[in-house]
This record gives sequence, C-alpha cells and structure tokens, in this order.
Amino acid sequence: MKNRLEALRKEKGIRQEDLAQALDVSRQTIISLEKGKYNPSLALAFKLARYFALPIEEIFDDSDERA
Amino acid sequence: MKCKAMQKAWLRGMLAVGVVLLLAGLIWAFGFGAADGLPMRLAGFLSGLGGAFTAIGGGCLLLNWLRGERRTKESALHMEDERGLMVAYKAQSVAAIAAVLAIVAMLIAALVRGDSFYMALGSAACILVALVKIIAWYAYDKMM
Repeated sequence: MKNRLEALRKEKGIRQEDLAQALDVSRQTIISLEKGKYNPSLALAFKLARYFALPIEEIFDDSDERA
Repeated sequence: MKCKAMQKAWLRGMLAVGVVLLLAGLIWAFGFGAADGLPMRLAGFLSGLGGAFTAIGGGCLLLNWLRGERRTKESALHMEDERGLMVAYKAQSVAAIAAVLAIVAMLIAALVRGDSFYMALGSAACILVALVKIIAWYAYDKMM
C-alpha cells in the first residue's frame, strides 16, 4: 500500500527517530512504512492519523488494493 | 520495562535450569555411570539439554551485558513494536518447522539403527509438538 508518510514527516521537519519514539515503534518500522514494504496495523494507522492530524485516507492510498 | 524485566527473569530461569540439568547429567555420568544400571544415554540427554539451556540463557544475558543499557533498550523496543513482533512470529514458525524436521530426521536415524530409546524419544517429541500446536491454535482462536 502506498503512503505519504515520508512527505508528511519531512513537511513537519521531524526525524524518523522522533516519529518512531512518538509512536512507540522502532525506527526500522518507520523506514519499512515509508518504503511501503510494511502495512501498519489499524491501531498504528490511527496513531499516525492522530499524530499528523489527518484522516487515514489522506495518509494511506489503497487504490492498488481496490483495483 | 516490565517486558524487559520478564525477559531477564526468563533468561535467568533458563540459565538456572540449564546448570542444574547439566550438573545432574554430569554427576549421573561420572558419579554413578553404567555400573548401577543407569542408562548413560539419559545422562547424555540431560547434560546436552542442560548445556543448550545454559548456553542460550547465559549467552543472551552476557550479550545484553556487553551491549549495554542503551542498545538493550533499542533491542527490546524492536521486539515490542508490531513489525518486530511480526518478524519474530515468522521466525518462530520457521524455527518450529526446523524443529519438526530435526525430530523427523532423528526418528528416521533411529529407525534405520533400530534404536528403540531414540524412537520413543522422537515419538514423544512429535506428540509434544503436536500438542503444543493444538493448544496454541485453541488459545489464539479464543484470543483473536
């Protein structure tokens, strides 16, 4: 699944370590999420949505999965 | 922190059990031996199992100590976050398959050699693996 995580993080000017710490996950998880290698759990997706104050649909794009 | 403390307790427990089994096996082998009619293979099995537990428990504790507090915390976080857990579960399933294959290999070797002790041990291990899987399925089915 594609996502805008890297762009959103850079817009906010935060490092991967800081985002990882804020979400209680490892930096490796953030790297995998940004690369689109790993799809987060619903709980982590909600945490990300709350962190960036955006709806989940604006962070994750599931158009590939729907096609 | 709670999880880390539990992990430490588990490792210490494993180390303690390992040392006890290792010593019991060695005392059995060198103290009594085959003279008293005690099967030496059981002594070898006990010391082997004890040695493995001692190596795993002691090795992990030593590694944590050598890594230092910061890297141990990082490693603990990696094991607690959802991706780390998923990776660990996948690794465990592969390890379980490897364990079953090892038992099957042991059974085949025992069958070829006609060794009834190892055949019985292998069969018991197979039954144990099957039981653990059934219990795990039941427990996960209830939990998830």
